[in-house]
Amino acid sequence: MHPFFAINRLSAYLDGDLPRRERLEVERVLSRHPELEAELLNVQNAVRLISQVGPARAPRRLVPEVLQALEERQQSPFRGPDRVRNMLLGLGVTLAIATGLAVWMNSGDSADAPAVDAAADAAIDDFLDGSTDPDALAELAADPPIAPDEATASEEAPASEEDSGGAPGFGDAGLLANDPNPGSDELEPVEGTAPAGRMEISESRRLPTPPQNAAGQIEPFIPDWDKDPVHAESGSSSLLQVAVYRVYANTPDILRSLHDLAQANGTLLTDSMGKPIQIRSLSGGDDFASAHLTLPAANMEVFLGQLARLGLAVEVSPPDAEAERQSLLLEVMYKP
Amino acid sequence: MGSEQQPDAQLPDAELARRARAGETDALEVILRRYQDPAYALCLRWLGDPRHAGEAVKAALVSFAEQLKRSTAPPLVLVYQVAIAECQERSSARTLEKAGLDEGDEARLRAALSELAADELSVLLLRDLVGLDLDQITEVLALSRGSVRSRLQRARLKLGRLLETRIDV
Repeated sequence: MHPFFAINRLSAYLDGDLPRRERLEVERVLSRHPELEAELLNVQNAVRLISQVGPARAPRRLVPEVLQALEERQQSPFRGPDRVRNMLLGLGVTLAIATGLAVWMNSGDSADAPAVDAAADAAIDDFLDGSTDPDALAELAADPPIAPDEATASEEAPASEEDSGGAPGFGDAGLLANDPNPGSDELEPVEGTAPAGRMEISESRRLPTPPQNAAGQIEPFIPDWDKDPVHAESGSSSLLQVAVYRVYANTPDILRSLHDLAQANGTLLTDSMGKPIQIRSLSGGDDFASAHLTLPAANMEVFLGQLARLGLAVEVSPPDAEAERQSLLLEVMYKP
Repeated sequence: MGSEQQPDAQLPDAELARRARAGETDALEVILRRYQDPAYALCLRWLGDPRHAGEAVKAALVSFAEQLKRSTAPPLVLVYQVAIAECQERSSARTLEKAGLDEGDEARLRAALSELAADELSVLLLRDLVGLDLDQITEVLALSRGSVRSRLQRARLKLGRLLETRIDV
């Protein structure tokens, strides 16, 4: 296993989530790369520190206070979430102001000020309680209980729904808020064996829409080789970024990307194999993609040579002299 | 506590949630007590300050209790969704205080955590502090399993390096 892969398995290794073969591979790499062993130690220490120092007891009065707050909200005429309350308040005030202004502009004379507050308040309260009678609203509009002077003063009252401070949902404006095009790149699992040349997706995944420049072109991923020497070992950056671009752009078929890439570099990938390559699975997160490929064992060496020229790091399962076909795991890391 | 009407504290979340939705305050109280400590710890480690954490967790639990009535999400998922949203909102509204380098493990941890991005922090705290498994985190954060795994890997690596730096200094 390449250190490129090992370092990205340290967390899963620590949790015991790796299949036996991968665990042994990680251990083999760890024994050869002391810098990786130091990383593992750091991660272990961090996890230990969080589990030891992190837990804390909530304040003793927390639950009674929460229950009390809930009870107070139940009794309040402003029941329901702040967002709804503010929205209704805004609508109520706007309605009262609009009707007042409209009639004032039509009649030209000042309304009877003392009757204003009580009627408007009652209308707003009814509106907030959800008990507004449509007939009463119509009547209110026809006979606006608000004076022009107060109408202008009321316009300064906060009636915005933007200050509701409602918690963002995770499916819309929460942690996925950075995705400018949510849902469009969702790939659903495909059951059964994928036909040759097509892929089988092992799990649902969401890949972010890649950043684009002013011309609408997708910005290439440029690895920071100097900063991360482990990744630097995986090869040429200029070619890797093309492959990453393909995955990043939600082109689901990594093999096709490789094929295009190979052609762009004057190398025929699939054709030189003579037989189709099957992608057994494709999985990915928001900063990586990996594919399991199976191809004729006789072609493996050629294929690996081509991948190496493309600058892609590849992990190959232990060779099996008896096997006609061989598997390899291809991983591409990128930064969102 | 000690109330005869108090539901069994061992009842599963789903049953307690069903009763709470039916208006049983005692069931709601059991759920709140079940999640108050981990939710508070999450807020404390996220915000780094007991007073802010206390305010955040109270607001989160009130919001959780209200949402529970109309949501079909499991309490475990809902409570951490609300708590994280509360922490995100509060942490973006103020500058996190940075701890000194020689104030012990807690301060070191606080300082290192304050340097993680929100998406890293959420996964890390849910996994290593609260103790959720990957599937549960996937549900709370509405992410794919692969994303959770890679974010956890990234967050742990980063935190490990930050803590190591603080030891060395």
